[in-house]
Amino acid sequence: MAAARRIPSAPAAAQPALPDEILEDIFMRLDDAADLARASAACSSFRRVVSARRFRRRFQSLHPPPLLGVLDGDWFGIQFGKPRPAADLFVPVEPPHRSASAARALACAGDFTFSFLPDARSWWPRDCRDGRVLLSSRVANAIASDNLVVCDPLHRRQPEVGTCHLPSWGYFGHLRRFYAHGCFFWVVGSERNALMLDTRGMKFSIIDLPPNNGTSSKGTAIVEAGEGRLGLLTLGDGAIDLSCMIWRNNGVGAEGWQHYKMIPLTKHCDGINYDWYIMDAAGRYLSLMVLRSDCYDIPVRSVCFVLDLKTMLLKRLCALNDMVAHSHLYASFPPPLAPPSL
Amino acid sequence: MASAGSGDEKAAAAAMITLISSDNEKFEVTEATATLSQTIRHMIEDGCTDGGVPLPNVTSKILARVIEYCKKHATAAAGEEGSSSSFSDAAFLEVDRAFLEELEEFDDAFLEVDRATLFDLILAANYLDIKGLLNLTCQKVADSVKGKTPEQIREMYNIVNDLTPEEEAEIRRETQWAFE
Repeated sequence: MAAARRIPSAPAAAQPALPDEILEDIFMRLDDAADLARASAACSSFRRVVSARRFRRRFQSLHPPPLLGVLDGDWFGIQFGKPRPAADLFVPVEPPHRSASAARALACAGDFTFSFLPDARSWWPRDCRDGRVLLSSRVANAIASDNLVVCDPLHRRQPEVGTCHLPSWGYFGHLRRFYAHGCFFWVVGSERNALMLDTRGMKFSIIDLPPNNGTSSKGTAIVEAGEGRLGLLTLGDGAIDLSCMIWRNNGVGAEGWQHYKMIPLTKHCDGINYDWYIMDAAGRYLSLMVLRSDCYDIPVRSVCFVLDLKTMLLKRLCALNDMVAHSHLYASFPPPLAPPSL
Repeated sequence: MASAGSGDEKAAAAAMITLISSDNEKFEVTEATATLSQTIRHMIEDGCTDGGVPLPNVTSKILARVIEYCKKHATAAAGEEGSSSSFSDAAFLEVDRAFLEELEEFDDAFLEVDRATLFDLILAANYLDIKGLLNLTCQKVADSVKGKTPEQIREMYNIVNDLTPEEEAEIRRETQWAFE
């Protein structure tokens, strides 16, 4: 660009410096966290602006955090009430994904064995969002009650209130929750309805899902489909169907579901058959697990793919060491850009 | 477009504003051009523009460029107002599209300046509160930083590295992932 031209007569001191609020305005326009991190290393005023907590909060509110990995939330282990090994439950995204090095940095900086929690080995991740993880414990002599704890694994923080006791997870404990447009959704009743909790009014309601035309569904997910639409993804035989509904006034006066797109999935390749499963949905991402149909090895080798609903591209995220169908997508800013979430 | 332009000129002839740069140069502009600046718009509303508007933070060189930008974009704003009244006129919309493309080309050419001028334009846009110009110039700096190393950013903007070796090592350690 023109500014790169050398002007020997202009000494550095004579250059007008930009005030912090303008630097902030410029840095807010960088949507890749790596660009922000490199800019902060140019000089002390850039560093001061980027390091400020206020700026980081602003940056986070404008840019969605990048997808950095998968958190293993194996349901079977919890069901059998066995303590898990002290393993790292975070699987970072792998190269050539552009976030691979940021994901490795998060894995190194955070504690995903949750050793900072009391009785670390009895906790299992149940959900995660915005850098916070919800874990539950199942104590052998208290089958009917779950303890819950929320923590920030990057900053090893846990709120003062400690654990919370629920009488029972009941039915909900087995259902995957989805989140879109400020509402939580649980798909119920043979995938014909979804239970919706509007977090603004804390009210429950039921919404109808489109009929699946008699084809066998291998899982559903509810997502934000962009342009103010609610999206329903249904995994069928070798393809994902996306139906959308214009989302106004939290579903009141909605015009009904419209079939929008079909995304084909590779079922056969080089004489090998593959099975696809829906893992999780977060923001505009849907994660899918794929494994060989004829594979009976234990642990099962599977691969996690992610469908970006903005670009409709399916990308490989990471290899998984087990059939972790209850894993959670983990989106976060890499350290040190992520402020403590608790 | 032609009729909108001449109408604009007629209306503006009644209201001219004098802007005075830090080096005491006087610029006569239409009110439509001047009010792209929220700062000047408020001064006009408060009735304190008689005898000219002194702008002690803006040199004549930069003020001339800012006025060039405002003139072009004030015409664009007038064009937009005109287009809404004859929305169904396909020929008019075609002209409008061509004008928007021309405006984009103008903006691109406008940004072909050296670093010092770009920073001066940012400061002037901020002081005069001209949203479009501030967006344009800040975006230009942000785009130029994308994918660059700290060394390249320093060279590009003539920035002195005033970080201590310890601070630099700390940043590198914290953000090693951004350099891989």
